[in-house]
Amino acid sequence: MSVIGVVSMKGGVGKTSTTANLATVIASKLGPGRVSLIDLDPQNALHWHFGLEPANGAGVCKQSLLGGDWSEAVSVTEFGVRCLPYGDASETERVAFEELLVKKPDFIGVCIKQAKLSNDAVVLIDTPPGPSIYLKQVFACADLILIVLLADAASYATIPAMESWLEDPLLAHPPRGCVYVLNQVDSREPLNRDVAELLHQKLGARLAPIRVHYDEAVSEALAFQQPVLVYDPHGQASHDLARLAAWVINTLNQ
Amino acid sequence: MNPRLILSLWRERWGKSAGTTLKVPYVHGKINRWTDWIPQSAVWSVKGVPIVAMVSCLLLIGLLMSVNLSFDDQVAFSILFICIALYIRRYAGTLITLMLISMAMIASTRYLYWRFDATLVPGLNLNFMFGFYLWVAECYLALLVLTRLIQFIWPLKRSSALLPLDQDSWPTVDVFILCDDQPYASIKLTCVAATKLDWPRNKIKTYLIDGAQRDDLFVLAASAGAHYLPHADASRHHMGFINRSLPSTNGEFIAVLESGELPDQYFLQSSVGWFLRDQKLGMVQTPHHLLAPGLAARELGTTDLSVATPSFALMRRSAITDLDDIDAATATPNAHMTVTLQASGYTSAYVGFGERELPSKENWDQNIINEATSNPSFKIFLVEHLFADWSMRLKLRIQSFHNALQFYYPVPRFLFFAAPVIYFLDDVQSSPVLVDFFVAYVVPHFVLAHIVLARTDEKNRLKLFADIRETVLAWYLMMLTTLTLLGTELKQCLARWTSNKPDPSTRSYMAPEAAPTSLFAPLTFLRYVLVLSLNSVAFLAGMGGLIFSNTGQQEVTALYGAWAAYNLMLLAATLATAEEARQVLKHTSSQQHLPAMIKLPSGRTVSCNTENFPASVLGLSLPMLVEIQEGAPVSLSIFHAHRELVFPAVVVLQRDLKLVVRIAVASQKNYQSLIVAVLSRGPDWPKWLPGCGADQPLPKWLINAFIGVSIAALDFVTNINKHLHWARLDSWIQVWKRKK
Repeated sequence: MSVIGVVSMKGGVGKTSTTANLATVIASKLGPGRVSLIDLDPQNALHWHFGLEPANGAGVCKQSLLGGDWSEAVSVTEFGVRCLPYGDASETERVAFEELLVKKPDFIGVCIKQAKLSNDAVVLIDTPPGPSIYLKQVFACADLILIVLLADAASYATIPAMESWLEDPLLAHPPRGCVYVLNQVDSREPLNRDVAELLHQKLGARLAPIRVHYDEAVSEALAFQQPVLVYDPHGQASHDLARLAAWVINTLNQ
Repeated sequence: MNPRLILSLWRERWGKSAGTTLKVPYVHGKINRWTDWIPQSAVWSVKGVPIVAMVSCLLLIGLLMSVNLSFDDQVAFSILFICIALYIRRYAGTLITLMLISMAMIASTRYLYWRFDATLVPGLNLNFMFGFYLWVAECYLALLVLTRLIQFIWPLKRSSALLPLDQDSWPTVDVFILCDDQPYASIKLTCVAATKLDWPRNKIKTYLIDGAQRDDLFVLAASAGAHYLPHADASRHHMGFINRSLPSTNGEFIAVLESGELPDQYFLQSSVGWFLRDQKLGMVQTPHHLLAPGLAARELGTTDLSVATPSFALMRRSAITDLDDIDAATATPNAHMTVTLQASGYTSAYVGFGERELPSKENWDQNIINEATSNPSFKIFLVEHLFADWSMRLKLRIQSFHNALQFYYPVPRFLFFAAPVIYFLDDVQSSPVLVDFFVAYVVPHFVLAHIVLARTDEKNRLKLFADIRETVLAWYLMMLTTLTLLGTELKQCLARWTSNKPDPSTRSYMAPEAAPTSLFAPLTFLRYVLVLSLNSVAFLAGMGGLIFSNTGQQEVTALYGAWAAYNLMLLAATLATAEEARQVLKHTSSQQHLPAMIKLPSGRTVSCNTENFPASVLGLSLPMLVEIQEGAPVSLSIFHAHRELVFPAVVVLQRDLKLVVRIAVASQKNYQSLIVAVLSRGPDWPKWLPGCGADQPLPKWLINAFIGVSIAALDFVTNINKHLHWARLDSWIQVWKRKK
């Protein structure tokens, strides 16, 4: 089983969209039933990408507090991905869940193991932006961390903070691989081009060789509550995500 | 194909330094003082002397050509001739060239005469027929060379006027390319050639002059840094377009090119000087230029030369604008441009080409003919009846004759390739050759021809030993390269055979799909392979005959064996160049389908592939139907080697899943750079074919070790005292010296 954490130091980089779309592409490559998604972001936005309406706000938060089984909250989407939303949680529930996570640093990893997923399953975890207790949990259990970046100055400025987080000696199990992914690249913009080139020089092999292009189809797909691969299979974003997925699978297999 | 060409191609193939440093200029020495003195001597003014000298020279040459010598005399004659030629070839000068040419002619005539006289088998049998054909083929080749030499020497003693050293004082030039009703491809060729003209960039402007607005030409002009001037209102003949374009341009001189013409890179440098020297010179043009009088066209109709030679005209702007009756000139189509210039006191000059190929700078200097003489009444005659001049007529005849010979040259060439094969396989001996006689006749024939041709080809000469070395090197490298190539192929075959599956990595330079065959069509290939294998068989048979038989024919066998070997080398080189050209073409066509992306005005993107990459009007194959208007602006990204290049473009048309876009004018320059980057050879290209290290058979470390050891030994021997001071050798040596 492989666990992929999708993180970013900054909001608005298209992390949730990338997680949902990447999961769909990986599912289309690996076959249905092998890919699961966990939303650890209190914004609880991931399920919108699949047009899901979870009954009575069930999700990671509530199920964990009840000490119950996560599987009750899992919905199977029509796109071959099993999705576990964060769930509608009140402020007290969220605080209680976060305290729980503080108490048990490997809670998420243990829960994933308990879910009795098949050996060849892939789990993608969406996280809230910036440092948080969720991020620590993901670092503790993920095999591969995908750090989503925009090719702009603000994203570039977050890299040192991200690096110091990753090198935190307090991390119990540092993740095996940690790769930056450039999202929403628009090569028409000189700044975009330059930052992309700079990142390529600075990060070298730690930057994924595939950049996801800026594509209006990604936003439109969310409006239609579909993954972009279904909404616009021939768009450049779908194309890039497909190549990124192939590259991720290849990286995990190594 | 000749050994020298093979060598230069070989060097180019593997990026080795060309042997240009070996070349030295011709020297001016004592002989030149004589040759300068002879024509100026007072003797020539004595009545009768020139005629007597001419007749005696002709008699002497005739005698030398025809006298029948014994073997020893012929050997002595050959050695003497070669020695004289080798001595005087070092010196510069026209007279030396003429001497060398006449010596070469004598040697060749002697050879051909001897071949006809002594080597043809009597009786009308197969041997005679074949020997006779071979002899005719040799005569053909000699005639080809002779016409070429005549064309080289005839327009001599016309030096080009030099431009001032200071480039800032050079005049400005406008290049007009007449595009009306011409195909895009030929205009493009001329346009690219025009941008490469060797002239200060800030003093030259290129204009594409057209009758109607054409978008593709507009793009071409922008990409080449030229200007596009469509004149829908101009009268539709060449002068009309030129006159119409005058107000919107401002260069002091105007070069008029037809589309499809490729001007020599140095043509401005070699012709503008004339205008600076002669302020009344209005125009310089080639005889075939469209602005030349109608007479030229009529004459050319009979000689049919209009295809072979480049044509251009260069004129002075003030000369055209000074024309009293510019409207009349405009109304008269083309022909009387020169006449009109004459009428207003300007002269015109002609430039001729002796060579079929584009002339090099040196030939240019010698070929320029200024027919604007100081005699005003003569001028009009010259211009109007240019081709009535007998010398010009004769020159044209010789040139067309040469072109005809050149055209049919493959026929005799085939005979040369076939001769050793026929000898070895069918025992048809084209001539019962006495080998020692043959050598005595053929060596001066070849050596002198080589010397003369090298002299006419290049401005600089190779020293004797460099010359020999280069020729031998060509053979040596060719053999080694072929052996390495065969070895590598064999190894790969073995590897494939043992592993029993195709290994893609060993054949990486062969793109699997769609090998374009247009350059090297199967039939041509088959022909080459046939001749090549026949010659190989002949060569092997010759070697076998040489080793195993002792019939007394060994000398002849060796002769034909060497001939076959020479054929083999030429054929192998031809095959190699064709193969490489095929690779280049394959590489180019393999880049037609690059991954691309278009960004629609709505912000949506479509991932697609290009269909015809280097074109600036690009076809894209779409994965799905896209709704887009013609003329809509899109942004096109082309992906190449992890890079993405973005070009703004405009949709030209859409048919089903095919979209045609045109790269915007502003980014044409970037697009051209991308084309160069994509299509150019990478630095690793030479590694694709084995044979690169053929000029270094020993590994470098071995050579370095040898040099190191030699230096150490030399150092030790020369400084023996220093190294062996502990043995008190110095005192012994002193003792030894004192004893002596």
